Amino acid sequence: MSATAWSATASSRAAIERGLTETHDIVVLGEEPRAAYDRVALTSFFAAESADELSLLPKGEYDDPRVRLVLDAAVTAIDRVARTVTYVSPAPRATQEPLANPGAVHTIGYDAVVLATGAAPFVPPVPGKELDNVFVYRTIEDLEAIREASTTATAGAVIGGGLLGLEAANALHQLGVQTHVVEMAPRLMAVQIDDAGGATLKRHIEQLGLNVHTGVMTELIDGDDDGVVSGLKFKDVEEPLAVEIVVFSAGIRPRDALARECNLDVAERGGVPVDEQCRTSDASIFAIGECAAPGGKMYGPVAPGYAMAEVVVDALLEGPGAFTGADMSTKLKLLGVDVASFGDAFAATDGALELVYSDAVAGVYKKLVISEDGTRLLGGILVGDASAYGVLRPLVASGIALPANPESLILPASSGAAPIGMPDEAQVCSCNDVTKAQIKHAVSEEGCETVADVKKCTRAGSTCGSCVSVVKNIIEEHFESVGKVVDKGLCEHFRLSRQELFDVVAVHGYKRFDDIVESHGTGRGCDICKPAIASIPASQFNGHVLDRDNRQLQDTNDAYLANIQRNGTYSVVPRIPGGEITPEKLIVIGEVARDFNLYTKITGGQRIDLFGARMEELPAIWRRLVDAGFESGHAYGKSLRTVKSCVGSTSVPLRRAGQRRSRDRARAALPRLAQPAQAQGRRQWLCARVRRGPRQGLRGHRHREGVEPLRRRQRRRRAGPRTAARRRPRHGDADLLPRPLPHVLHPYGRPAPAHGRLDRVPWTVGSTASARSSSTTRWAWVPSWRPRWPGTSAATSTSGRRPRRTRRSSAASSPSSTRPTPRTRPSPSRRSAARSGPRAPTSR
Amino acid sequence: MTRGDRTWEKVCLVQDPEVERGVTALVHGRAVAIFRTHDGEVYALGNHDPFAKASVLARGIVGTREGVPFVASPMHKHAFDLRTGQCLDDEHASVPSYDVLIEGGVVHIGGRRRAVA
Repeated sequence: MSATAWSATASSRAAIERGLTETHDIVVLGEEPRAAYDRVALTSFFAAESADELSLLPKGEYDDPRVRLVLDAAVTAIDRVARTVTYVSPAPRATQEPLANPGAVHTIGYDAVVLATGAAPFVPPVPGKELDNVFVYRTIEDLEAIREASTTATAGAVIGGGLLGLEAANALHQLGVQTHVVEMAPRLMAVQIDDAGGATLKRHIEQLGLNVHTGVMTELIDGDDDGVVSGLKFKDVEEPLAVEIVVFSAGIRPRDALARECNLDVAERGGVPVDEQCRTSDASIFAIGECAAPGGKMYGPVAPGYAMAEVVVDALLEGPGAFTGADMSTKLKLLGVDVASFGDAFAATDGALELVYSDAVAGVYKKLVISEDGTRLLGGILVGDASAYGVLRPLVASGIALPANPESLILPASSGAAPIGMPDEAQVCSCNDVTKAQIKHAVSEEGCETVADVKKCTRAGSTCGSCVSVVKNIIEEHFESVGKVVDKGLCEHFRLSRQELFDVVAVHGYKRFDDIVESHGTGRGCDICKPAIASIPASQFNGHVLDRDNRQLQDTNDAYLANIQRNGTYSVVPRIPGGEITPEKLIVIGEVARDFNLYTKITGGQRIDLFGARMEELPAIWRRLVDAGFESGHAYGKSLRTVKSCVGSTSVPLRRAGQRRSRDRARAALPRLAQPAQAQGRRQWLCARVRRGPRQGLRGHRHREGVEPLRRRQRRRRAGPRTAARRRPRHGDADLLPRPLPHVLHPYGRPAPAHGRLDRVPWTVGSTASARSSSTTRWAWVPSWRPRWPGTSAATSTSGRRPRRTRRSSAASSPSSTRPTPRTRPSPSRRSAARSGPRAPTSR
Repeated sequence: MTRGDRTWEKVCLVQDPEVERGVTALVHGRAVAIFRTHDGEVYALGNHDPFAKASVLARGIVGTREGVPFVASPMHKHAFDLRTGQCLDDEHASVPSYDVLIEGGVVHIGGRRRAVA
């Protein structure tokens, strides 16, 4: 047995798998100098490290040593009587030339031959097609030539706007060449999609910066004096198109010369006609792939080629396999645009009805072709969003009745479309090839209950996420079918989910937990529902989280605006947005830490953490921090999460990946906002930062993204001294390197001095009227304080009582004595000035 | 202050602790967390959370679990029955509970309750 080319590889693979090598010796003759490679992925060749990445035989040989691979061997004749194949090796390079070659002639005998010669690109007889820089798009060699030419070219044209043509255009575009797509038909991909779909696709492609010319016929390729392409002339168009590269992608023709030569039947439009077992008119010669014409029809895509390969192997093993035609459905991403076409896409069936969803703004076009009685799906076209393909194609194949509202199949997922009646074999997640049956199995057998479980279990929806809504529907559908009620309740006190509770509050306007639990819950709540509910009125009505009615709902960190630590003390993390801070503020942090004896460390996220604060010290700590210009209420200092910022002409703090979207929006705004200044020749310093409310509802911080010019002081600070500060320790400068400090490296191994205090004195000493009445009882009180924000009168009136100081009262009450100089301490008047407006620069 | 001791210590007025919030008091040399529930009952438990090994119970969230009034420790959210001090998540753990007497609107804390037989 012998064969040639790409589908031959598939054929040989199948042969090895099925054990054909036990009875047959297999010789694969390939004309190209390299083993078969993946032509579908040809465009990725530019991204690939080497041609090997595309190879279907990375090792250069088959797994089974009984398969012999002969490369660079051009078959010249098949002698059907003597049953021999004649080939020359090395093969002549230029295929146009007659097979007068320098290679040696070999002859091998055969029992069966498989023709898998594929197809050759069709180059229409346009004058000038023989010029330099005119290419086809078929082999790695073609691509290498195109790449070579693109180094000097600025513009190129692809003739043919079909599937391959657009691939070629993508390749040219990737090479940085201004790309024109020239299509004779009035639309792109004329075979697969209709006019409206073509128009949508065209818009997409033009947005990418490519030029599309449809309905024009190339009349002439102009060349310059050196015989290199210089332009294209179109019929009925005055202006020629200046291009230096022309790539033909105007269809393919089966390579059936060998079959003609040995007098096999050849189809009228080319190709070797074969029966259902892929046998040609000679029973011992088979043809598969693009050179074959089963039923007189040629199949271009890969899948039918593979199917035919399987059939041939089956036939040689005397099995029953038959090739009866292939599904020509296509789904692909062209230049990043989803395009799919399946079944009777052009409504060729008698009486077929069309259902079209088109959104020109979003660039989405979807068409369903439905049978006359409206019960079955016959085919369809999807452009811009082919996520429904996985649902729709099985509907065509299985002939399952359509739902009553078929439009829900193609409406955007957000409108609540559910894949009703989706067959089990339907592919739900096209990224990871997960079918509905697999998801159902995961839910029914493997105990998955949520989308997250299913994602973990089957990987469905874990790549692009476009199918998550479908997955969710399938899960719910399953639970509904088995009669299981999915408990979405928040906890034992509420049957409603968080979202539902949010809506209930929005509708009824509840502001108190008592009202909510009385009307929609049972009992008195718990540690799960109380903090959850506390956030709902707070975010809807922007109420204070420590309002009298709701403060008992807050978890301890929110109730005390600090972060509880293992021994019951708290840590305070002043918020330092973007890492921008003044020396004065740093000094205040240091003073607070010193005066309250707080263990201070820079956290892994570069926040400054003050540990070991006792509950009753918190109001006093925050008082001093707020007075110094910090914001209270940021118990964790994490509302901007971990800020990585840089200093330069523009500064973009990057936030943690989970909040990337807001960050990207702010980032995207940067150049836009900088533009006016640049236009005036000004250099502007901008800082993009994403502003969020500190904690929902705390105070009037609305989510805000944007860019703000840096204040003058910040600019000066940011620019910094240009000389000394630039010196950085290098590994060679041993004396400059900081010495490692053991307790810094192991902060958790050694308790900070402040820790452990509370274990000894676990309560606070306070006094009230009733306590005073009993001389033996000392008892603690939760100070009814609330944080104060600069400039709020309410806060001033309710500013917290300072608890009576005990041991450190003398140090705390006279902090100024320990401060370096009085000059650096802002006077009260200056402090208020700083709060209300830009601060005057300090005297220099 | 020993068990069964009838000496009561005056601590505060009934309305002093906020509803469903706790306060800490030093009673007979021990840290006691005092809670007032929504129905007006006042309970007293030891303030020390045996799981977190920290005196924090008074700062927990008060609620009900299947009708049982409880406080959830702010550290690791272990729930303790306000009436008995029994941990609702771990039957082997409990905190002391103390007798509470309300007389003339003043909360008195008595001795540690014996375990319910």
